[in-house]
Amino acid sequence: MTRRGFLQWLHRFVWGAWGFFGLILLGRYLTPGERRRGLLQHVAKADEIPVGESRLVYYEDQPVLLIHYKENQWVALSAICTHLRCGLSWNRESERITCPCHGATYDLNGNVLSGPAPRPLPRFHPYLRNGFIFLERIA
Amino acid sequence: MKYSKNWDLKAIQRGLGILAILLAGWVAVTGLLATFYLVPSTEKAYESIRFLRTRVFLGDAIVSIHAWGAALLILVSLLFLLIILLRRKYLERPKVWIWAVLGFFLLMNQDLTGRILPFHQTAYWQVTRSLEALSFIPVWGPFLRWITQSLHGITQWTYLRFYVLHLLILPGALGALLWCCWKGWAQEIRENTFSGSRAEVASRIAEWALLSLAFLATLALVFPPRYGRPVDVLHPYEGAKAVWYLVPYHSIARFLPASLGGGILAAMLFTLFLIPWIDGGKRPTLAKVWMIAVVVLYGLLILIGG
Ligand code: HEM
Ligand code: FES
Repeated sequence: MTRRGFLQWLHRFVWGAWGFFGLILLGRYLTPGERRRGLLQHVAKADEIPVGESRLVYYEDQPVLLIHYKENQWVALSAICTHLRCGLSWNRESERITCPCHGATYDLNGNVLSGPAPRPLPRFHPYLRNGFIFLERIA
Repeated sequence: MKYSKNWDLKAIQRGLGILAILLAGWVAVTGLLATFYLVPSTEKAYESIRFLRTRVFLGDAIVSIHAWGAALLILVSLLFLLIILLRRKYLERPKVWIWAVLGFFLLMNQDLTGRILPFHQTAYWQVTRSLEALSFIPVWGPFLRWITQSLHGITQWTYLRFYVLHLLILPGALGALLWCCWKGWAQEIRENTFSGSRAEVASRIAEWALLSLAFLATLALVFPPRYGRPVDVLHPYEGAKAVWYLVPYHSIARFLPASLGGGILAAMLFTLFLIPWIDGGKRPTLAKVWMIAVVVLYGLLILIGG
């Protein structure tokens, strides 16, 4: 390989590598999820939700069922059925989350117990701080 | 003038070409005008479009012409492509065929990203179902869902990205395509359709432009587009469906596992993209039968519904 040929090759290689890494940077810029992980969002005041009750809250526009199922024990699950996206509700007596549309039921871990739902419910970490509930998305 | 079948299709194709350019112009103008009022936020978009359509002078006409113009543009472009296929014009100019199909593909994305913007109940659920259908399409589906951040459903992030794609990126890409790759084509269509001096041609084109605007305005007045209720993310409406060109990915899921069916369908459409090389001029009947089969299958799947 001549010196000229080598320089030409190097030239191309540097541009190519630069373009490639540029794309990676752009891709990461366009993926806010990575940075949003661990982001806590304040969604409710704890004493407004009595034991056994639940409330519909929103995490970045996403409806979430916040359930106060035992004294100071909270669960937060996506409030959207994984079948056709109907809104879910918490059934206190059966301790199940139920879908009004085609009858899917889920347990407190978000796992499907019955019905046509294909996937478990996405979960959120609830945190109690100074009397307020904050949520964090899991994965 | 001598009658021949070939000549007919050619004339129709030129007419459609002109019509597509005029419609695209009106869609761009009305879209641009609508941007003065649309607030790109999941909380405010609905109210802002409502304001535009009910309170602003000519606001309803602008929005309706945009929607009708977009629908007709897609119809006209589709017919244009079908005629190229029937005439096997792609053999002469494989490159232009590639650009044309790419343009149509961008147009579909332009349409899809526009649908969420009014942010009413019907729009929300139509796009939600469309995103589900997209998830069955290999490569493009995951890419679009990533770029629009729609894995968790339609959030503010998604809305804003649809907005940027619809108003900036896709029109930019389509404009660039028009400029670099179809300029010669458009020129040729114009020259062969209108004859006479420059001034005569200009006035004929102006006449056509006004006529198409009048037609769009009439359609818009007689059949204004849907004007839904505010979004209710907890209650899908009965029978919510994806946009028509994505319906097949749901309907094929009745017969095959969704991702497999989606992969097969997408691959079949992709062969149309490659048809200049598949056809190659050697087996015209085979190529024709294949093209018709793909188009008919896709059409049938749309009719079946998801
Ligand atoms: C050329 C292809 C285009 C197509 C196929 C298209 C399609 C659409 C569709 C289907 C809607 C939804 C209308 C409704 O459901 O009421 C829409 C809305 C909108 N589009 Fe476009 N559009 C195009 C170009 C543009 C351009 C170039 C702009 C601006 C630069 C634009 C700006 C808007 C805005 C602001 C809205 C929301 C207001 C409304 O609903 O009319 N569009 N578009
Ligand atoms: S939407 Fe919940 S079961 Fe169908």
